[in-house]
Amino acid sequence: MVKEKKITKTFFKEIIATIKKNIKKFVSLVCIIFLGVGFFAGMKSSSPDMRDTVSDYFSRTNFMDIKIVSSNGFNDKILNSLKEEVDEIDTIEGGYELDVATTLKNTELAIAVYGYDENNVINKLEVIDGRLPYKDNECVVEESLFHDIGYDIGDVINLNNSNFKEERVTIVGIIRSPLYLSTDKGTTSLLSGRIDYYMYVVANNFNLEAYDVAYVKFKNNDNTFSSSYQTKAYNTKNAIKNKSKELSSEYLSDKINEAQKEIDDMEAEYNSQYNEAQSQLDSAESQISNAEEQLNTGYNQVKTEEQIEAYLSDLKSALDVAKTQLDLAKKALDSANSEYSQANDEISTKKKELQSIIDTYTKLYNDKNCDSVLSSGRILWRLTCTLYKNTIDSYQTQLDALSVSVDSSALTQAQKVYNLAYSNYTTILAQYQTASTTIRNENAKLKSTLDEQKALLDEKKEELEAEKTRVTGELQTFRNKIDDAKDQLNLLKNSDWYIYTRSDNSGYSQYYDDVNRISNLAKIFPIIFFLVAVLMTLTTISRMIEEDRTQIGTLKALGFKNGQILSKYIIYTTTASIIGSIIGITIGLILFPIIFYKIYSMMYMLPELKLSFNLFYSMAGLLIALTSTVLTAVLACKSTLKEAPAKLMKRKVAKPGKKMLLEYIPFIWNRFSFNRKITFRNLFRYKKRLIMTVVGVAGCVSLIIASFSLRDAVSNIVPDQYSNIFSMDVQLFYKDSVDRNTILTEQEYVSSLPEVKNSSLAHIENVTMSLSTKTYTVYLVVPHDNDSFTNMVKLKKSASDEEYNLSDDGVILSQKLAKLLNLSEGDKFSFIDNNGDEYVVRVNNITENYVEHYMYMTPEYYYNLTGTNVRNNTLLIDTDGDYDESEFSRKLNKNNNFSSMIFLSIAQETYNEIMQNLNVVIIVIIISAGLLAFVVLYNLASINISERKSEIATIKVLGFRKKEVDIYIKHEMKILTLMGLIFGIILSKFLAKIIINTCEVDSLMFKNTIEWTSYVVAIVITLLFATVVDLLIGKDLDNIKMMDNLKVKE
Amino acid sequence: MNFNSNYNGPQKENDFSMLNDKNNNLFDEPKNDNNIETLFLSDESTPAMTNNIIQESVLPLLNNKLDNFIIFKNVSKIYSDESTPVYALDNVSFEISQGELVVMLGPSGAGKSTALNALGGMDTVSSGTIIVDGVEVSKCSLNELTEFRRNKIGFIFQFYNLIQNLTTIENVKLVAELCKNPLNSEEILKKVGLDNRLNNFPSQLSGGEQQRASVARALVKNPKVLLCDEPTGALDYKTGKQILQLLYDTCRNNHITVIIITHNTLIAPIADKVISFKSGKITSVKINPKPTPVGEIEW
Repeated sequence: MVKEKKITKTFFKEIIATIKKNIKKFVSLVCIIFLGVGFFAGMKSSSPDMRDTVSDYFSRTNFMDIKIVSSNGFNDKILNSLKEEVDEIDTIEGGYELDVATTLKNTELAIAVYGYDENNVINKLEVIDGRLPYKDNECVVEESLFHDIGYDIGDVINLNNSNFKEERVTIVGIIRSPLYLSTDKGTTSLLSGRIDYYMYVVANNFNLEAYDVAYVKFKNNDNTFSSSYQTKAYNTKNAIKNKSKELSSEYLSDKINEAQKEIDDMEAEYNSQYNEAQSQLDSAESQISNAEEQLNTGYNQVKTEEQIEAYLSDLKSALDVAKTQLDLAKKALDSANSEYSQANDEISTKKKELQSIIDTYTKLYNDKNCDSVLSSGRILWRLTCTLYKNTIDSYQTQLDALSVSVDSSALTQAQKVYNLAYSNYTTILAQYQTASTTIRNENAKLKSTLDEQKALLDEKKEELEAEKTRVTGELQTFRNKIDDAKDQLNLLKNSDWYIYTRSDNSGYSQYYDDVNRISNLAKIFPIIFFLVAVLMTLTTISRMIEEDRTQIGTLKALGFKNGQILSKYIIYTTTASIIGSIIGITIGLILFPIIFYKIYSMMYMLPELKLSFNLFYSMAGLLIALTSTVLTAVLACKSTLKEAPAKLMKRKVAKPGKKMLLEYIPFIWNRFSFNRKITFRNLFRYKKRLIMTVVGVAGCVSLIIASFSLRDAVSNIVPDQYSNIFSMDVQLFYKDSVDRNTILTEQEYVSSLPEVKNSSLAHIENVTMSLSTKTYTVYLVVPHDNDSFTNMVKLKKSASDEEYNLSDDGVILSQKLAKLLNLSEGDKFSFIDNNGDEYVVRVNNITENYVEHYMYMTPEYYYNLTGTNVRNNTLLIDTDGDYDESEFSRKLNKNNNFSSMIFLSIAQETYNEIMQNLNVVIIVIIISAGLLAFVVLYNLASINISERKSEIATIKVLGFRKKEVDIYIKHEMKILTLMGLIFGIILSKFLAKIIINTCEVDSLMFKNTIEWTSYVVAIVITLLFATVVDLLIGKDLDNIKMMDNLKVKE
Repeated sequence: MNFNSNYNGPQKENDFSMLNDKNNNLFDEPKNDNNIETLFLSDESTPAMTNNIIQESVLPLLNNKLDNFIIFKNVSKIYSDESTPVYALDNVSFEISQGELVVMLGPSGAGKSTALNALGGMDTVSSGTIIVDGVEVSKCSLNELTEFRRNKIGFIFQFYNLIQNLTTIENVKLVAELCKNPLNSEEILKKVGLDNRLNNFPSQLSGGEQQRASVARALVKNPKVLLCDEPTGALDYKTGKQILQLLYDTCRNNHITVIIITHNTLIAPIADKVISFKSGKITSVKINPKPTPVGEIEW
């Protein structure tokens, strides 16, 4: 007994001595196990922790299982009936919810306002700061309202909606509601279509007559993420739906009847009004037609010009005759007159002549005593006087003759005739004129009287028309009212309850998916790690037992039982496993969940992480580590123990050399130097080690590259999306009140600003598209004009330069959406808009896109689909140069036509922040992989050396310089590392694809490419670690003492 | 190719008697037609002497440089990492002449291997001076020791320590590539009788063949000193004798100092000098004027 005790004590001393002696080996074994187990347990427990945190949160806050929304509302009676009739319902509560559009600190926002009642048990609020409201003019808001807008407890919010008793409410606290898990708060028909924030006011503050929302809790709490819960939710939803019609029509029956009665009354009223109007109209019309008839008759009596002429014709002809006669008489008179005057003229001429002669004679006569005449003796004078006297006498004679010839009787006669004719004529003329005047006057009078009457009649006609139009209009309005009422009635009759389970809450289903992603990740990474780790432990332990061959043989020879010898190694490996596992589990279970949670906190509004000790995975990790190490020890030991002690104590026959394949190609082989030949032979001689080094290094390298690839995929999203796809810089949303003309004029104004390069109008709304249980929010974009739109968004084929054009027969979907919905070009799919209407579209093309989901269509297509013409509610602009954002935004909204403006640079920044956090995960993975590579390389290198100690000692003895000794071993390591690198690079492509597919979130598209820089960095890291290993190995080589290794110890 | 069986080497220090021995046909021209020096023949044949060798062995005798070839002076090696210091070598002194065949005797742990290792520059000593061929080994740096070993020392191990991954010829060539003036590898191997085993791996050779290969490897660099640590320890009687013969012939014919460690006292007679060790100290240094030929010893 004593002897055995002594042995045991020394035995343990020996074990501890073994550990101490080769502390490096022990530590490296512990490290490998710690890395493997830590990674495994850590990653595997991350998703359960994340799920449990949220599950826990949901049970604390009693998060609803079903939400029912109805535009007609509920009352307590209905809710109670529902509870009784549907088994699964444990609790049901009515509540109030209203979306309001209000301005907070100069920004117009869409806010979801909920009613809080302290008696509510479902969807309890968690208070982060301050307290819950109890007065009507108090409210509590969500945390991000504080950060983003800059509000404080005590600030006042104006709800700007008459559905509240108190529109101005004071903030008394910050809360968190389980209804909103994600920063995506759902859609609304207000403003830009997205809910910006949520808040709670006291339920009493709502002015609504009925609850507009109801919440349901199930009996028997299943784990919210389990499939049994999903089934229960689905079944209950259907049960409620089946009851909904019945219950709601019951509730509404009074309303329906009332409405029906009202409609009936209105119809009757309408009919009577219509009839009355009709009869009045008829009578008026008949009056008019009578008057018209009379008028017509009157007009018939009005004489035309021809008729007048006809009437006056006799007189006219008489006149004509008289005129003719007059003319004749005139003519005769004239001629007689002319003759007479002619004759008279002659006479007067002659008389004049005579007179002049007389004058001349007189003059002459009077000149008798003139000098000149006297001088001439009055001879000439006497002659001339005689001449003149004769002439005068002649003229006198002529004149007398002429006077006689003039006959004035003809003239007198002609004059008489003429006078007669003239008086005749004038008489008839007078008669004629009188008759004419008379008849024309009468006619005109008649006409003008008739015209007056006509004018009156026309006036009356117009009045009638106007009246007709007015009455018709009024009747039509009435008609419309009746139609509307009928529509309302139909709505009431067919009232739909919208029933939502937890999966319809976008935050919840997203989170569920994201957590699944992590657990998928956890399926791959840790396995690889663990595999490598296990391989390493295998080699380390077999090596250790190898080296102890002689000792084992000695112990056996001394009489120790196999079991006792075995126990040493079992204890050694168990100790290493347990220490490594404990460290690994401790660090892993804390580190990994925290890292993941922190990242996802960016996109969700989560409560504090609840870390739990995941027994299953910790134990699994520990067990795997333990089993692999101990099992290896046992197996390796057993095979050693089988051999006879004597054989064990002898030197182990070294593995024989063999010709390798390459040697049979003397052309190449003979060119090799010795070192190369040795290196090659050694490489292929120890095949197991070759494979393990290559696999180990390849695994780590591919992990590093794949991790980088993930990081690149993640970090490239932002530049790719915001530089390549989106060229627009700002999105401006028009207020709902802005009319179409103003939309255009506003665009002109904005385009005129110097900072604005291009602008494009579009209609943007939020719609949803679903596949089985998954619902995705999609931006439906209808560009007003294709050309200007291409300045804002590039629609193109993925990984190609081919650009797509919108056409009127289909839509263009973003690629992630198409992938999630399993759609390709030519497929048809449906979407549901804000009003709940469903439309089917045809997919024409799938465009490259990285962030969120988009569907593009032309205005024509939209019209064909929905029957409405789009209202361009968004103005997209593309800016140029540098500008101060706040000043620019003031300029943009000078006319106050925009409700909000989104600067895309800010969205970029937000995403960048999210990506930074993801980087942390990736760096952790890269560092771990690098460390593992280091451990692998070092381990295998030192095993390599320890197996060939005698060989190395021999060559040292032979006089190999230190450098030559190094090369002898290190060349192999370098080649193995290189092979590992190459395999790793090849493997990385597959691993990257798997990892990216696993880690991708629904709203993002990861590009599956590996940048050349990733390869470079991975290679550099590997080479770096290889160099460090090299240095360490160098030291180990130096430490090989020649003589120790060449002889069997005496 | 005459063998003078009367020649037994120098009887004692400064013994020039043989020079005066007219009967000694030491100075006869050897009747060999080919001018190629054949250093060794196969197992059963006998070594020959040539003028060159005589020149080499006699002149140094004349020059009185004999005993300064290897000098061990007050050498101690102490292991102090145990609780009590262990004297592997305790103030050891001896001298070896060039061309001597020395056997170091002693039981296990006596210090003979330690002395050999120190001599070969493979291990350090705690105090004392070691000079080999004018090189103060005890004061050399590690690099200098490596050079020393590379060029001047040939080592033969008990367990051969051939590189398993290289063939016989490659094992020899490996070493041949290390030094400046190596002998021809194929020739050497032929001389040790392994010309039909050139391309075999050590695992395919018998123990004796491996040791012969080991000898060839040691000799190909034409060392000044050949250190043999229990060369026959792993071999059977007959093979062991062959190896000893080889070593003996090497010593004589090539004028290489050969030091053999063994704990088999029956081998001692072949040596010129026998140094006996016990507990780290030298108990005796015996000069053997008439070494027994290898063929005649039995153990």
